[in-house]
Amino acid sequence: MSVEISRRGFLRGLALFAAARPVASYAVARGAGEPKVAFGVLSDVHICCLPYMKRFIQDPAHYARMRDPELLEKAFAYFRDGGADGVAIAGDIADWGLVGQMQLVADTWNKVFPSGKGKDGRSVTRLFALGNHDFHGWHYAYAKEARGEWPMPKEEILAADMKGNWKKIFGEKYEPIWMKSVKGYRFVGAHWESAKGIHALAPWAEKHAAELAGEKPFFYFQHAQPKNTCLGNWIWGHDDGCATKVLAKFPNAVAFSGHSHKPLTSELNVWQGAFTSIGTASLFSMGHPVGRDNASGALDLNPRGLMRGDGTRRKQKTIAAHGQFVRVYDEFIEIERIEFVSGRKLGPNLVIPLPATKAKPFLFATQAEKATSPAPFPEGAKVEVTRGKAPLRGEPKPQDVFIVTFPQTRRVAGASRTADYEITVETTEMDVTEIRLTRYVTSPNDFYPEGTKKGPVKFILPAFLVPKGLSVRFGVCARETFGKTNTPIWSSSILA
Amino acid sequence: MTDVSEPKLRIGVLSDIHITDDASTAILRTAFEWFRDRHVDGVLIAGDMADQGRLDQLLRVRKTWDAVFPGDRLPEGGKVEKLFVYGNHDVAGWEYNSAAFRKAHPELFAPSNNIGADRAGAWRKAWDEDYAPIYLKRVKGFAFVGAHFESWKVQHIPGLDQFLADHAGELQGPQPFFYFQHMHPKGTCSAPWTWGQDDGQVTRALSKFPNCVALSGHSHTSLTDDRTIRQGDFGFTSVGTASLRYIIPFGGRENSSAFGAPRVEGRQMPDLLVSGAAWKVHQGMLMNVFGDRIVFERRDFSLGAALGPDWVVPLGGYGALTYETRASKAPVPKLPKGAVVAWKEAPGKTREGKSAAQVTVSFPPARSMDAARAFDYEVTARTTEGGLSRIVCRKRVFSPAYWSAECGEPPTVACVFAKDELPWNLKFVFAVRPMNCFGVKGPEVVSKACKLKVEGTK
Repeated sequence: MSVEISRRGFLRGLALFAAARPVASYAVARGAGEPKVAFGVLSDVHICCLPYMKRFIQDPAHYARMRDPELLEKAFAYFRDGGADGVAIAGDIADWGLVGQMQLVADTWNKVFPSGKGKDGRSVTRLFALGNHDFHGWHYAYAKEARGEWPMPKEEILAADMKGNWKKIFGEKYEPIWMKSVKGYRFVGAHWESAKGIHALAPWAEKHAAELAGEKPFFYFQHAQPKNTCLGNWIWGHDDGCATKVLAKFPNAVAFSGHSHKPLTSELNVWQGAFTSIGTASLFSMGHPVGRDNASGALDLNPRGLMRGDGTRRKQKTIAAHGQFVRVYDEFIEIERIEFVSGRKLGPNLVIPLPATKAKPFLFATQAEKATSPAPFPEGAKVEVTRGKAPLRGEPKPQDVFIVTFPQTRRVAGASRTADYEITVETTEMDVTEIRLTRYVTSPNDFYPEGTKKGPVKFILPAFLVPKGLSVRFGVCARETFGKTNTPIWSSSILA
Repeated sequence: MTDVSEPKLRIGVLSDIHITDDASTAILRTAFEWFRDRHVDGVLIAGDMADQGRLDQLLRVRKTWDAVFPGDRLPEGGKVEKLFVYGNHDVAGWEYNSAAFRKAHPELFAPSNNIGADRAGAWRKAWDEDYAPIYLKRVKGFAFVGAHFESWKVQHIPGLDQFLADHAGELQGPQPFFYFQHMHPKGTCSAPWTWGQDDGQVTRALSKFPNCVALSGHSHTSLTDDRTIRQGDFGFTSVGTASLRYIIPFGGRENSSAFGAPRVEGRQMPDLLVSGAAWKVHQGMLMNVFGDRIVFERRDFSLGAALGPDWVVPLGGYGALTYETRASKAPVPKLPKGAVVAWKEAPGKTREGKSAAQVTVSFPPARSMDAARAFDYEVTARTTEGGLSRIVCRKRVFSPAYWSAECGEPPTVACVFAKDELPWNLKFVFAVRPMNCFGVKGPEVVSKACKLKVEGTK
């Protein structure tokens, strides 16, 4: 039974909430009752395995482990059991853009939502937008190699006849930009056009402006991140700004986008400005943001300068996969973030007040201002440094390195989440004591609920970066997303 | 009110002459003549007159002295007092040559030519004076206490405490007295970093005399480093005397090394000391004593110009020359207006001679007309990948003329990075900040965005 909440009381409570951090199950706490509409959001699923592929034949266990539909089925089931009215996938559904792969997705859908029905027999709408892999994956190098024979037969390629294949697989009309209505809410999806973005969106949005405008939110899905929105200006794979320009005319737009494979734990994942833009992570693999030494996708291509990156794939097995469950109420949207391998929530739910024009707690500037320093290091914590050999990015043989280890911070009340650690390398010779270089490593819990990984953090610095014979020490501080740090801890000085 | 009369006393100050040949003799003569032209009352040499502990080298100094100050007199007749002490090279330099070398040059290494074998005898032969390990001379009413280098085993001056106590009546203030020895009294000028400090007993002895001005050499630290003159909790004024022969730069910079310390490997630039440039720098001072202050004019004898603004030691108080006081007042250098930081990729060699892909950053030096000369420069490569401002690599570098008069500054200063120390295919910038010797940094000038090609690509 829902309890009426006065608007003033709600906004007062929301202000307190917005001033602090998101709380768990805001709607339940407020007695808000059933959502007006609920939908699951996934992205970058990259379904792959098809038995007839040469690689799969050669190593069936290998391909059975990776990119298989089991995790997708688990996510669909989660949404179904949560009472979803729809499920969105923001692109890169079929890893190689093959008909068989998309058919696997459809089969999984039909298994979880037979005849398109979910919990209590409600209709569940497919809200799928295609990405670059869906159109072009068939000619990416690893797809060619896996296929074994070349060229790929046309009948296997989705994009060879997208309209026909879409109709065949999903029984619905294919439209480059589609709009569906679910429980009175508009959902718009734009399939991949090019790396620049969806340039057809502008005229389409103009044509449908009257249907979209207003205070009631509508939900938009595309694959590439709209430029200068969620995940910041540095995010890989953003479009050229064409979507941002269009959506900026609709303050009620709530856009979801993927492509970058960045985790949902980041405070940058929800952006508010002229509209709301939310990243969708990946069900297949994720990586740390660039600029950190353990980011696989570093822009710095100097192979001798960086430790090896890590992501959510270990020996071709997905070890962490993210998705979101969105519940829409009259006065707010609540977003649950899930890690599907463990089935655990990634953290407290995020609450976006409605209408978006009235309050924007996810403005980056607002979040930055309200952010506090991360928790201090444990009492007596030290940075330990040893010398050894370790593989570096792109270097076949292990190289001389400094191995730096330090404990993680543990979140305490009032402290912001530790997003990464800043490592300062300080050298001394005679009257010169200086910071020779700084590096960053993302927190080991970047892909997991906080506190999942408890062990020390390990950072590797190539030894050649510190002239041999200099006295060197390493300082570490924890850093939250917007740059506030805690008090650093230091190693003893050693001779490089 | 500032005493604007003529100085009461003028003393030329030299150190570490390391005389060996005609070239070094000529440099000494230039210095003596400059002092003569300024009508000095004496010349102080804080040790290491001979380079190899040879009497014939000491006699070169004598001969040069006689040529400029015949009869220990100025041309107009005024007496010029000799205020010299032995340093380690004078009394132990003989041993710095291998036995084989000495054997191969019997004409130079005859036993009778060994200063260390007969210090007193050599002193008499060179200066026509009796030798005393510690002595006192008066010049125009000012006391000068000279203490000869004893030995490496004894890194202080035996008997100094007693000597000072015996002469306390003459030495105690307010009038300054001057003390000179070869090694730096520990924990005073250029400390804590400089090499060549003694064991601290001299510092303790002199600390009872706040009117003492101690002059010492041995470290060859440049007079362009304002930390070479210092007051502090040791209680007296301590002045380093650099070297007339060559300067030893502090380590810690990409083009220097810490003298006497384990070698640092991996620098991308030659060591200024080893490269030979240091041997072209010849420094000394003229000390002018007034009623209310002492003024040190610092001289670049190679370029014939001032090394910088005079050092002024106020008399009648103490503390104006602590590091902290001067750091707070020292002008902060700036690069010239419109300065451009440029960079260029080219192959080169590391200090060890290994071939390396390198990037050279160049920029104009900071000038005194802009604010102040720089002591050195901080050059930082930094990037903002991922929205993080990251120091990719930071170095310090000397201008190759940091130890010369400003007229010797080259048009650009360079700092070399290994390409491996920098990001490839990622935009970054070089930021340059001039610094004074107290570590205060001036405003930065940033290069245009740089992007290095990935190795193996065009």
